[in-house]
Amino acid sequence: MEYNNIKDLIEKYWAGETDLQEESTLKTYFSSADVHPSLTQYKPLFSYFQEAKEEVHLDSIEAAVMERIQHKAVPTTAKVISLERILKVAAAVLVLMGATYFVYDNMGNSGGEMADSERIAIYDEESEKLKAYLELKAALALVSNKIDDGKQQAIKGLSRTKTISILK
Amino acid sequence: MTIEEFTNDFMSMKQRLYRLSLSIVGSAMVAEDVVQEVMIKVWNKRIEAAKIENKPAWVMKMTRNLSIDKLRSKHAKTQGIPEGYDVVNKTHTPETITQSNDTVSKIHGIMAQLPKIQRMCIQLRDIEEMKYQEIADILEISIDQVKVNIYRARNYIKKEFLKTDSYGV
Repeated sequence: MEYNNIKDLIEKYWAGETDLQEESTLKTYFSSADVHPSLTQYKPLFSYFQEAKEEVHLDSIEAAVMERIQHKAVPTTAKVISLERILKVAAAVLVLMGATYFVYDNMGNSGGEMADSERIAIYDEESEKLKAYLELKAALALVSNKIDDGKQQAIKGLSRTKTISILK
Repeated sequence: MTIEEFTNDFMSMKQRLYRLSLSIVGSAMVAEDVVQEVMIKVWNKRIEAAKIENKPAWVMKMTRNLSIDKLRSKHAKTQGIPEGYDVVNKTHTPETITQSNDTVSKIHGIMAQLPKIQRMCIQLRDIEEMKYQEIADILEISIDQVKVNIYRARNYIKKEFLKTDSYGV
């Protein structure tokens, strides 16, 4: 590049009138070993712009970000909600099944003649069933309490003991 | 947006984002934090990010805003300490300081004295080699304002640089 050309370009540069290509020409010129003696004073400035682009070590940042976003791909809050929902649905289904079974069983045994031994056997069976039912009810009450009172730990504890003692 | 697209479109910009942030906050540590935060923000907004047409300008703008926020909160915490560059640069270790590096730190000092907007303009133009329109988009100013700021910054650099130089190294 001609010395005069570069000199003109520098003037244009100071005036803020150079385009990107001309600025690139200046940088290339000043990074070469062959700079005109009267222009060497500008060399550090243009090489500064080049050197400022030198890459720094940012791998640890990239690693940290990638780890975080890969971890975040499965949001933890959604897990909690779904578990709670599953518990609620399961509790409701269990209550419904228990109730249906109990009602159906009572209706089925309401009529007909039976021998005493048969009655006793049925009574024993019934009391076993009732016991099982009450235990199930107590367990379900516990689950339901846990879900409803999740936010009030203290009250939850209290109501749990109450429920158990009443059912007993 | 897949992780691969994220890496190609955004993570690949980390060096430029870091330099832009550094030119605003003046601290390598803070600039690193900014880049990390911006990347996580982009990922969290990935549905929106995937639709952005000019991704580099969008993420540069985000970096600029977050850097300015950091600078404000830093100033709020350490009132009275003047804004400036921590000259955190591996080329400035005692073993590697040479005469030319001495000049580099002088230029660094001149840059640090520039008003923030001028410094950002010079950073984006002379170091990142961006078009006036791109700079205007990132800094949210008009092209004319970009040109004026670059003109003023270069004038200041010229004046200070030649002054420094005339004392001799």
